[in-house]
Amino acid sequence: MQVDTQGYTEKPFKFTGNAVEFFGIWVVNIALTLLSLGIYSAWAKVRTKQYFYGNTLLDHSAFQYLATPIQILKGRLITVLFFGIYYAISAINPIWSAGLTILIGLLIPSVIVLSMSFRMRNTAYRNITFQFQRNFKQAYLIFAGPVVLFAALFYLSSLFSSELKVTSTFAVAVEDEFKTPFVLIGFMIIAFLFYPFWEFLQTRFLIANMRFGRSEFQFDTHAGSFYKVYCIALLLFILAVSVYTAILASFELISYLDIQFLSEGAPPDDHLIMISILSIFIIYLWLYAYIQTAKTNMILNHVRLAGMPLESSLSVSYMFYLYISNSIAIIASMGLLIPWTLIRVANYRARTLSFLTDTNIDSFIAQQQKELSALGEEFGEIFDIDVGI
Amino acid sequence: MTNIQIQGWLYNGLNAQRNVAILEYQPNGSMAYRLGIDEELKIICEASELQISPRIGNTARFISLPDHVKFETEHNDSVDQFIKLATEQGHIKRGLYQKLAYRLESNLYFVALTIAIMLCSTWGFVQYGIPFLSKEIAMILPSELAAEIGKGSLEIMDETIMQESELSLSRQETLRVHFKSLIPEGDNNIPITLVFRKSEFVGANAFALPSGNIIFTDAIINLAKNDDELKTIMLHEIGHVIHRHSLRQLFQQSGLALLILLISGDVSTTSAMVLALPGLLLEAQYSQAMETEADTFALKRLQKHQLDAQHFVAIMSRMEAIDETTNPELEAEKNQGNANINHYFSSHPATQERIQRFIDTPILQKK
Repeated sequence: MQVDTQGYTEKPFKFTGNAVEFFGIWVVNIALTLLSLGIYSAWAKVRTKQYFYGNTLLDHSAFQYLATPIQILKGRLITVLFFGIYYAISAINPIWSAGLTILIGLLIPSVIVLSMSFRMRNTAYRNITFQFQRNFKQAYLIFAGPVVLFAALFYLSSLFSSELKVTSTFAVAVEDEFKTPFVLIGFMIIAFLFYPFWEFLQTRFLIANMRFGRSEFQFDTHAGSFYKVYCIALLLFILAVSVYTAILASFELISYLDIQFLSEGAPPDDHLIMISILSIFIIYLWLYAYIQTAKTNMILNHVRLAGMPLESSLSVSYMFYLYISNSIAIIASMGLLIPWTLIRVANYRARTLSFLTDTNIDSFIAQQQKELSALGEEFGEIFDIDVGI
Repeated sequence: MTNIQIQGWLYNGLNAQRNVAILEYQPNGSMAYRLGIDEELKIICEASELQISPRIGNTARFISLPDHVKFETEHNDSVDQFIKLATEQGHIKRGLYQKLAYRLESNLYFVALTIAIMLCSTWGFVQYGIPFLSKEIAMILPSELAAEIGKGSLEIMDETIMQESELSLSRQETLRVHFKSLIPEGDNNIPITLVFRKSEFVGANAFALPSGNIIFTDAIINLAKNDDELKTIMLHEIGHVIHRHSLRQLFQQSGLALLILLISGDVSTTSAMVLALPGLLLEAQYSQAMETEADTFALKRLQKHQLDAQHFVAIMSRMEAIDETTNPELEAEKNQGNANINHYFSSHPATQERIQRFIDTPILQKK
């Protein structure tokens, strides 16, 4: 296979669903789910998935969702049973419930793997299914490892500082009050610095274990790309906050606030306060849109299938517009516009995504049916988590 | 009899190769396909061996043939026509559900009707169904089990927000004797235990725990001008225990959470925030209904225990006054005409409304 930038043909993704059609499906789903006391929710999920998969086209061929409602129903039953027991136990004895919570935490890496495996196995394109290698050991190292490490370090450091307190009561007594928050802040800084790297490890794990037929996925970048996204976000945040403060100061709002704290001065204008709160919210949402969009683009642009890349070109301002308009639409319609918002997002994401292929898509080969057991994969549906890529 | 031809793509299941193909249903029940335009028609299997994906809007249909071969087509109407004919001729069996779901989804009248019914029934279920079911279940449970649930909560509160009472033992004993006479007899009642505690955090208040412990803080004992005032409060708290309010609250919360999960499980998480808000409002409203119920319980028993409703008015007004001095915003909000929102948002401050019921109770004629 030649890897020549010139030789790539761009195959765009396309989404053909429409809001009116999906609205009917969505309404019937909810109605039958309520009527059947929740049992239909499994069928509802499958129909929704089938609708979104079936309307996602790559080179005119549709994706297919293969899971059956009965499989989903099994997962749901396990979930209900599981949480029923959990609630019963935590109602009887709060201490046991803490233990159970830790147990659930320990299960999470397995659940992630099973859920990915379930999802991939049940996704097909041109009659070839995706797969996810069930690498439990790696999953525990990556997802649970850092958490355990941090918890252990934190515990040790607290032991260390309390020991100091005992040995030299006099010297440390004063210091100790300052020390605990200091240690805490230190840990938080370390956690923040480490987080992008951790996210990189997780993403690489999820992508590199995926397959399409016999072809492997690669995640062709390093942790630096994640740091870059967050650094730019941080710079933008500082910029936004300084502009915000400058504007506020020019409205003399800050001096108003100061006065009010000190004495009963003239209360600041209600509208100004509303505007300033609203603008904080907008800054937050915009930053969120930036991080999500930049990260999604970066990740998708480094995904390779058999060496061939994806190309994603989401725009931050359009995503920001989608978030805001969707939220307003959902609230104003009391939820009735939810299907419309889902279709819009799927539509935009497909429109900005394409697959660059150097040969014909025809040449992908199916994995020989090894009939890997699907046993236990319903457990992956327990939390119904959609591991986001 | 005509043959039905469906245009689409055939995938062999070995690789991603895509072949333009025509799938043909023949009246004798067998299926044939033709690759490309020129090739000849080949019989592959019987119609009964096919697996046909259900119709979902206008998404592509997938027809699975033997040997992992799959046929994809966007000509939904042709597929439906074929299914109809083949079913009539008895060559394939078709589940009722497969057809029904699509029929409903594509019928605008049905969808509109469903929305109307759905909104009404959800509202009805939340407003009446959940409280009713929670009440029934809570009252059916044997009292031992009911008391067992939440047994640890007193210990936890003792460790966190409450300290030992500073009331003299004799004072505690007097009150205990007073209160004992108020506790009604009943087969399936949760046994009531009186507890005195000091708590800066709670302030002047009394409350009932699921386990049947009724806690009075030192502050409320000292706030009372006489013991009759405290008795009316005690009656109110006994009302909470007898009606098993904390248990019902637990069931109501679980019921609401389950309902929201069921709906939103299919709605995706974008709207989780939007869905959480009505839940909170409803819970506050539920607990208001419980306050009223406990009040009713107390009101009914005032006469029997020779207590005047005005005692309750007096001590509640005093507690309300403390609330207002520590929390002046509450009063300000009321004045701004936000009373309606308040009504929904808080479990207690419809206090004025509650006090009014006691004010309206005729003054007790001592026998």
